[in-house]
Amino acid sequence: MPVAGLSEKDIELLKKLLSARGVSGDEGEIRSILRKECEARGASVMTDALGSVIARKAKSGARRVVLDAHIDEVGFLIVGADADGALRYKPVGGIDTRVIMAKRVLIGKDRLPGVFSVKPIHLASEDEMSNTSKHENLRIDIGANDKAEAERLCPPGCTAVFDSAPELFGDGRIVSRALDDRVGCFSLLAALELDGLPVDLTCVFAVQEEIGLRGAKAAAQRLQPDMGIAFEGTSANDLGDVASNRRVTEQGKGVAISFMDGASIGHIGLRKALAECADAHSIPWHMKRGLSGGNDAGAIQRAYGARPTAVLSVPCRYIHSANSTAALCDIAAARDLAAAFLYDLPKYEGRVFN
Amino acid sequence: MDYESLLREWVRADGLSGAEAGVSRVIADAFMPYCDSVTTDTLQNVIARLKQKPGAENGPLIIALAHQDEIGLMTTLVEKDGAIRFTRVGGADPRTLPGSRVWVHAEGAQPLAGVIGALPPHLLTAADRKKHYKMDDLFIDVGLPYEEVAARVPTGTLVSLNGDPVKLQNNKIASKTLDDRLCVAVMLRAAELLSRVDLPARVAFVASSQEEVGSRGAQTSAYALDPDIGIALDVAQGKQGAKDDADYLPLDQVSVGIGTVLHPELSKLIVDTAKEQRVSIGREYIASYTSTDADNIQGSRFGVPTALIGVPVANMHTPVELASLDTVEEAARLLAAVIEKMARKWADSKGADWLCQWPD
Repeated sequence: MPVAGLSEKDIELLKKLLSARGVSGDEGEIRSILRKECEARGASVMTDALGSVIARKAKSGARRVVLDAHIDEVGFLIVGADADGALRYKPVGGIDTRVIMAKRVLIGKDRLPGVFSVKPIHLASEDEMSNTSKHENLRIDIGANDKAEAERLCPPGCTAVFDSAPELFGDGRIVSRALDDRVGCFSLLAALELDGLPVDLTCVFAVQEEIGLRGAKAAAQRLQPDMGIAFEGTSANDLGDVASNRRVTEQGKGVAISFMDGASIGHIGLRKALAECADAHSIPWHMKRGLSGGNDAGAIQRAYGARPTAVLSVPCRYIHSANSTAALCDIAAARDLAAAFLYDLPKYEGRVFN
Repeated sequence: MDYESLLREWVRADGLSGAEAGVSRVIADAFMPYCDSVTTDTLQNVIARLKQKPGAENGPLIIALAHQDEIGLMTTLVEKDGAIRFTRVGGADPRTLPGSRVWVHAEGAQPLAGVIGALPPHLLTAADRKKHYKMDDLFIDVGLPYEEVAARVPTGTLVSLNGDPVKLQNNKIASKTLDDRLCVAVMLRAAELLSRVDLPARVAFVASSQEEVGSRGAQTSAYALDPDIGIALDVAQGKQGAKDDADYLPLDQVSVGIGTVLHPELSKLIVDTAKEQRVSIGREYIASYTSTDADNIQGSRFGVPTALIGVPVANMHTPVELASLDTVEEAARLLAAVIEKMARKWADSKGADWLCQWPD
């Protein structure tokens, strides 16, 4: 059943992207899915030396536009096991220890189930109840009896993701891990379906964003585009009686356009053109008010001399936890603005490139 | 017995303390084949009387209890933006809630899927990272506008944790509510084993209610049944992580309570039986009250000699309680053998004298 501007096929694709594993540095599973989806859309596809997927629909003489979304997600790197078989790990990307207590994970390609151990409330001291543990003191339990068994099943170097299958809920929402940034990948795949674009379009499905915008930087240095737009799943922090000055974006109110974040200040002409384009096509949008986080736009903007960049985000509550949420209408708005802007870019030529 | 399928059905059944009709029903159905009668009382205790063998009417009445209720949450307020504030039913661990999925049991409808909110790391201060969330800072997001939430989720709506069983290595399982449906499964298997024995005793299995809020169902069912001997079955703290601590028992041992509230002759009988049956046990030494149904069975009427047997579970009161299904089978084998031995001893000593001979 279509919901909030997404068809049944769209939702199926979104769930497929959200179900794939892709912790930074171990993006193989999501990469091969994206390669196939890009090829099915008639793009010429390559994978670069870092593992980013670069899909191009060329048009000679036209402006070279890069759309970027990162394919990696935060997760856990297994680094070994204790004598009793409990797995030691390190977080990959920013994960708050407060959201992992008693969560489930899937480890390695075979998705071996494991759980984060918690000292029971009955035995925890006052100090343990109020103060957080550090990652180095937490363990993942797979039911192994000893170190040898644990390390045979989960060799050091393999990665784990939260066990959290995507599901629709509430009023046209979706809950899943990795909405940051599979929602961005979704917009890019939709852009690759467009015919007769007046631009030379390259979609970069970048690796290793969560550990320092690495994939996007290398791809932008290779591609040397005329401009770039990063598509993100960003924080919302809009629910639960949050003071208005603490809110970042608002779920259900369309795509968020950034003024700045931790990695870049957007090109003013490009940002205003995007807002104007959204209004012209009646696509709901709002400004991202918080400046938290940083994303691939920062890497693209400064990869090889300055280029105009912007960030379009889907507001996601509880990102970097097992269960982040997004509104389907916001995902649709991000996709629709990408399409509208690619067609309309010639109209804004002077403002974006001068 | 296929414990995994059984638990998959049982942990999904509704059973927050005081609202246990759902889980009562599936448990009652499961005991039916081995019983003369299965009834549910006013507090929703399920009382399953094992098929009685000829001559058993002169034997003792032995009751075994494991609680069917589960911990969870209850809504207290809907904020103007639709966020739902909540409190706890029983000892749910607030440290484990942020970023979890839950079911909000809205009246007269399918439960609403919800997520417990948490700030993204990007917005955290260094001070935030050092302290766990307080209950007051948490809320449930059901993805609906305020008007709809206010209409469908009145104050006092029950909320259950989300956590189906997942099979781990070495026949271990992680799930919500292994506390204490795992021990109800132990009783069910013991009922099956005892149904094949010519047992000179009457036996009632009780899936007790409201344990998590103060062992209330045990209080009323022990009073009503007026037993000669009581056996409480509850989960023990299972060993986890790298810690080596006497508070925790290895997951592959059946736990046996030894302590003030528990009758020493019964504890001794259990330890001896385990040796005969080659069941590996871990002793749980309990200095004062046990915080299980054993406390209220022991104190019922004129006092009831009471024992405590259980299965160690790691990560207690979280949605990933972790236990070994092999130990469940061993605990059931031990429970059946213990009940049989109690019955024979009762017959040999022509009554309860062996339980009343206190040393000088």
